Amino acid sequence: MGRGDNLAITKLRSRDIVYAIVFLLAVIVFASVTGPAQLSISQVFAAIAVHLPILSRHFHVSSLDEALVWQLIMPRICLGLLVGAMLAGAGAAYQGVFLNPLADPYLLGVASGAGLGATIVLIFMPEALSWSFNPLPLAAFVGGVISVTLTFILGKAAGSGRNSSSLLLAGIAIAAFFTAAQTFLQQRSSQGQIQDVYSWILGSLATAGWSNVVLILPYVAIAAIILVSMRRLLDALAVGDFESQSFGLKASTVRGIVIVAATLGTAAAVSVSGLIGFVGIIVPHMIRLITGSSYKRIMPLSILYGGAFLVLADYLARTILYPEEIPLGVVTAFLGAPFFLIVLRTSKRLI
Amino acid sequence: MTIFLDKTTEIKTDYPDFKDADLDQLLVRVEKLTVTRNKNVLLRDVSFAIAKGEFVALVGKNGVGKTTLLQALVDGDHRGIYQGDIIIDGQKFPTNSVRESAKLVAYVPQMPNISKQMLVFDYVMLGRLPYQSYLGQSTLNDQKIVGEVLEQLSLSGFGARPLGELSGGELQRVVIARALAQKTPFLILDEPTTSLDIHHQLTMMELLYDLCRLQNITILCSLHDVNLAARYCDRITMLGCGTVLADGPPEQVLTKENIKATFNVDAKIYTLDGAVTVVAQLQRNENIIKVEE
Repeated sequence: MGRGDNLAITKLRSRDIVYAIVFLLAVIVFASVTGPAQLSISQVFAAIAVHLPILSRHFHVSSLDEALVWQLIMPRICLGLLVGAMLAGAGAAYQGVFLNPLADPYLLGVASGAGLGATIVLIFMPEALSWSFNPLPLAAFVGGVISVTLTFILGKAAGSGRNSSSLLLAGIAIAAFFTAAQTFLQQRSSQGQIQDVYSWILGSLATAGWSNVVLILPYVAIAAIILVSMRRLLDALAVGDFESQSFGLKASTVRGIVIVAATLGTAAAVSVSGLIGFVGIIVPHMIRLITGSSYKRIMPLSILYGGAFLVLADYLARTILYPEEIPLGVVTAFLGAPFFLIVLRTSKRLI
Repeated sequence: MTIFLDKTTEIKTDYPDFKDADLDQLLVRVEKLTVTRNKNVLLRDVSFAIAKGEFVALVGKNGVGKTTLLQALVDGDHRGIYQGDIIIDGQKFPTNSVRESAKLVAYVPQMPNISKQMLVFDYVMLGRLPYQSYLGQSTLNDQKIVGEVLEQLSLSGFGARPLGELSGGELQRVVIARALAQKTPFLILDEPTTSLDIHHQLTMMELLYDLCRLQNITILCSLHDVNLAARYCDRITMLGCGTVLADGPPEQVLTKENIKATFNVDAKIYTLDGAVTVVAQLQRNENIIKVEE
C-alpha cells in the first residue's frame, strides 16, 4: 500500500449528498402525483408555481387542483419530510451519544410525556379539537418536554451527571410513570375517546393546511442545524469521557447539547404526528451499513433519507387500503423490521 | 479499596535528583499531591519531578495508585478530591481549559475505548481536536501531521483500516499515534507493554526511548516489568502504600530492600549488559492452594 492510504480521512462526500437530494426530490414528485387524485406532474408543478412570486403569472391551474395540491398534498409531504428527518436525525444523535446502536428518539421519555399530554386534551377537552387553534400538538409538546426535563433532573440526582447510564435508567422510570398515568386516564374515559387516543399514538401525517408544518419547522430546522454541526464531535465520544477530555473535548458538554437539540426536535415532531416508530433506528442503521460508522456521514444523510423514508411510508399508509388509511406507525413497523433484516443479512460490514 | 499508610514509611518531600537551582529544567513538578475518593486516601503527599526530555518509569504493585497518579496528570474527568499542586511546563495544572491542557499532556490509557469500525486515520485525527475549532474541519496541516505521525510509527498504509481489524500491538501504536498527534511536550502511558508479547514489548520500549531521545518528548509510563524499566528508563519512581517510596536511577531504586518493601518478594539483583536485572522469588511458607488433608 502506498502513502496515499494514509490520507483516508472520512468525509461527507458531495456525491452522497447529491444522491440523497435526487432521491428526496424523486420521492416528493412520486408522492405528489400518485395520489387518488391522479394528477400529472405538470398539474402539480403548476399548482405549486402559482404560489411562487415570479412564476405565478405564467401558470394557470383549476382552483380544485390548486386546492388539492396546495392544501392537502404538499403540506402532507412537507410534514412527512420534517418529521422523518427529525426522527432519523434524533435517532442517529441518541445512538452516538449513548454509544448504543439500538437507541431511538423516544429513549428519554419524550413519547410517554407527549402521549400523556395528548391524552389529557383528547379526554378532558374533546371539544377543543374543533377550535380554530388546535391545542393537541401544544399539549403533546409540553408533555414531552416536561417528561424529558424530569428525566434529566432525576438522572442528574441519581448519577454524578457524567454517566449516561443513570440518564437512561431515569428515562425508563419516567416513561413508566407517564405511561401509567396515561393508561389510568384512558381507563376512565369512553370508548370513542380511547379510539382517538390510540389513533393519535399510532401516528399520522393527515393534516389540513400548513399550520402544523409552520408549527414544527423552527424546532426541526434548529435541531437539524445543531445536530449536523456536531457530527464530527459525535465520533469523538466513542472513546469515552476520560480519553476525550484528555484530547481537549468535554464529552458531557457535547452530550448535553446534542441531547437537548434532538429531544426538542423530537418533541416537536411527535406533537404533530403522534408516535411513529422505527424511523429513528432503521434509517441511521441503513446509512451506517452503507457508508460506515462515522457520524460525519450518518448525521446529514439520516436527516435527508429520513424525510424521504417517511414520505414513502406515508404513501403506502394512504394507498394500500384506499380509501381507508392505515396508521403510519403501523406501516413503518411493517416496513422497517423485515427490510432491516434483509439489509443486515446482505451486508458484510460489522454492526 | 483503602490503603493504610505504613506509619514507619518515610514520606519524601524533596526531589531526589534536582536542586532548586535547576527548577527551570523541570517539565513536571508534583507537590504534596493527595487524592481522596469516597473517603479513601488513594495517594498521600506524593511529590516528584521530571526534567525535560526524561524517560521515567512508575513502578509499584497492583492497586497502589499508579493509574490514579497518571490520571491526575491528565485533564480528564476527575473523580475524587485532589489536593496539592501539579505544575507542567510552568503552568498550574489542570489549566483553565481542557483544550490548553490537551496541548501540554497526551495520555495513552491501558485499555483504550475504541469504536471497532472507526478508521485509523480518523482516530489519530482526534488528537488534533485541541487545535481545531469545535465546529470546524480538519485542515490540510492537521492531515499532514497525522500522516507524518502514522509514517513515523510505521503505520503507513494503515490509515483506511478499521480499528477492530488491528492486532494488539498495532492498536497500541495507533493509540500512541493519536497521542503524538496532540504534539505535547509530555506523554503519559499507562502500562503500554502489559498486553504485548516479548518482541512487541521490546519494540514498544525502543519506540518510547526513541521518542524521548530524538523528539525530546518527556515520558512517564507505568510498567509492571521492572527489568524493562531498568533497561530503558532514565529514572524509576517507585510507588508504595500511596506514596513515593524511592525515586532515582534504576541501580539506586532497584535494590533488594526496595523490592521487598514494594512487591513483597525476595529478589536477587544482577547486572547484565550494563543494566540492573531483577530476578524475583516468592518465599512460600505454605501452599497457596489450600488442600484438605
